Amino acid sequence: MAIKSNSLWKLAFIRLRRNYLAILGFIVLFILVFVAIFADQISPYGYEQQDYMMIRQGPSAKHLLGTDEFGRDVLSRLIYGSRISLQVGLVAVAISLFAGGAIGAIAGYFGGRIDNILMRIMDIQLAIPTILLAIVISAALGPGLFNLMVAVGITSIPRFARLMRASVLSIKGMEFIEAARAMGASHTRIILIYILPNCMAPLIVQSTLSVANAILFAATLSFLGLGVQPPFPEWGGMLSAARPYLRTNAYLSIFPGLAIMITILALNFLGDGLRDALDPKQKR
Amino acid sequence: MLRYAIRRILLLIPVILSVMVIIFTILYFTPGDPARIALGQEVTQEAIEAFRASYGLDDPYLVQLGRYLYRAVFHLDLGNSYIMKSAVSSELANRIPTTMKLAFWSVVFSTVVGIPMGIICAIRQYSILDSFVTLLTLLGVSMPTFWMGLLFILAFSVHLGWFPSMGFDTVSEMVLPILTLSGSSLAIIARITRSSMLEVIHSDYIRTARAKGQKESVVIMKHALPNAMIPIMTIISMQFGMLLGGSIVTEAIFSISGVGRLMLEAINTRDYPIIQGGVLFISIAFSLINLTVDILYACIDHRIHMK
Repeated sequence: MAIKSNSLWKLAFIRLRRNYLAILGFIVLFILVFVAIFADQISPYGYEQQDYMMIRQGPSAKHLLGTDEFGRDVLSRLIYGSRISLQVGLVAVAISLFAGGAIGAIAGYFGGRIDNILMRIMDIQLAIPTILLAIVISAALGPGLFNLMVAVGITSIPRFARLMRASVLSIKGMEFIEAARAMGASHTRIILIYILPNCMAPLIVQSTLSVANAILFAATLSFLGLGVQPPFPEWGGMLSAARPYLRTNAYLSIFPGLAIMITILALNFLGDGLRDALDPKQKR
Repeated sequence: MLRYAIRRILLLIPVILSVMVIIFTILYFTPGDPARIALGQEVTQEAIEAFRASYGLDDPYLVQLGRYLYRAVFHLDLGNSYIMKSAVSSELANRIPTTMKLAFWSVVFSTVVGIPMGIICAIRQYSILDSFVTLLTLLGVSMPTFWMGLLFILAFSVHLGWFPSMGFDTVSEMVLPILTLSGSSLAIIARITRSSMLEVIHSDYIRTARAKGQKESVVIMKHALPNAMIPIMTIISMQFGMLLGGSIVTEAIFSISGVGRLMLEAINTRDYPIIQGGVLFISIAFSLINLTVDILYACIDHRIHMK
C-alpha cells in the first residue's frame, strides 16, 4: 500500500514540475502567502493609516499605487487584503471540504436510503445558483469575516459531496476493503484509513480550484456590501469604495482587481497542473 | 421518451418546494426585526405591532411557513412587499423581462462567439491563435464579473465614449452589460468546446471520414461537432444559471432595474417576501433550463434515458 501511494505522488510531482504554468502559479501563491504572513513587516503603511494631505493621489514614489479617498496607501491595503482573501479562501474551502466530504463519504459508503436522502438534499441546494445562495446566506448571517467564510463555504458543499461519493463508490467494492472488513475494522476506520487516502487526488484538485472560486465569491459579496465591511481592506470592498471615483481616479479601480485576478489565475494554473499531474488520463 | 419527460417534470416539484422551505427558513431565523426596519426608528410600539399582525409575523414558524407555501402553491400569491406594500408577484413580473433579456442575450452572445472560438482553437491546436485565445479565456475565467464591468465602463464609456454606462433600454445601453455578463461564460464555453472537439477530432471515425476523402469542413461540422456537442450543451445550460445569479452583480454595476437589483435592494431593507420571490423565480428558471437540456439530450442520444 505505502509503496504504491508513494510512487503515485512522486510521479505526480515529476509531472507537475514539467508544467511551467503550474510552477508559475505555485510561485505566485508562495509569494502571496509570504506577503500575507509578513504584512506587518512588508507594508509601507498601516491599512487604516490616513493622510489627509494625500487624498486620492495617483501612484508616486511615496505611495507606489497611490492613495484612496481617505489618504490611505493602496499598496498597504492590498498587502493586508491578501490576508483576508487567503483566509476566506482557505477556511471556506475547509468548511465545504469537511462537510461535503463527510456527506459524500457517508452517502457513498452506506448507499441505499441514506445515500438517496443525502444526495437529494444536495440536489435541492444545487437548484439555487451558487452565487445567489451565497448572497442570501451572507445577508442572513450579517456582515463579518467569519460569516462570509461560512456563506461561501456552504455553497460548494454539494460539489465536494458528489466528488467524494463518486470516489468512494469506485473504491468500496475493491478487495482490500473487503479484507479490512473481514479483519473486523469499523466503518469509521474503513472510511478514514482505507478509503480516504485513495480519494485524495480528486479532492486536492477540486480544493485548489475551489479556493479560487471562494476568493471570487468573497470579493463579489464584499463588492455588493455584504461581506467584509470597511475599514478592513478586502479587495472586493476596495473596488466597491473606488466606484464613485472611476472617472477621476481609475487607478483605484484597477489595482485591487489586478490583485484578485492574479491570485485567481495562479490558483487556476496550479489547479489545472495538479489535475493533469494527478490524473493524466483525464483530458481537459 | 414522454414518460421520461413527465417523470423529470414531476421530480421538479419537490425540489422547488424544498427550495421555498429552505429560503423561508434561512430568512425566518435571520436576526433583526423586519417591522422595525420597514417602519424606521421613530415609530410607536402600536404601529410595529399592527405591522407584525398584518403580515402575520407573530405566528409560530410552522404556521407562517405553511401559510406561505399554501398561498404560493394554490393562489400563486407570494405575499406583499414590506416596504412597497405591493404584491411580490407583480413586482417580479415588472422586473423579470429585463433580467431574462439580459441573461438570454448573454447566453446567445457567449455561445455564438465561444463555440466558434473553441472550434478554431481545436483545429489549429498549438498555433499562435490557439495560444492567444487560450490566454484570453484564462483571463476571462479569472476576472471577477464586477471588475470586468468596471473595466468595460472605464474603456468604452469613460475613455472612448462609445457606450453609456447605465441602463438597459436601447441597443447601445445593452452592449456593455451583455459583454460583462457573458465574459466568463464565453471563456468557459470556448475552453470546453476546444477540449471536447480535440477529443473527438482524434477519434478513429474522424480518421475514417478523412481517409475516405471527405472535405475537412464537412468532417469538422458534420462528423465532429455533433458528437462534441453534449458536454458543450451541459456547460451552456449550467452557464444560464450562473448568468441568472451573475445578473445580480451586473445589474448593480449598470443600474439596471431587473430582478437582481430588486433583490439587492430588498436585502438592504430586509424585505423578506421580495428576497423569497426573487430566489424562487431564479431557481425555477434555472431548473427549467436544466430540465429542457436534459430532455433535449434524451432526444438526441437515446442511450441516456434508458438508465
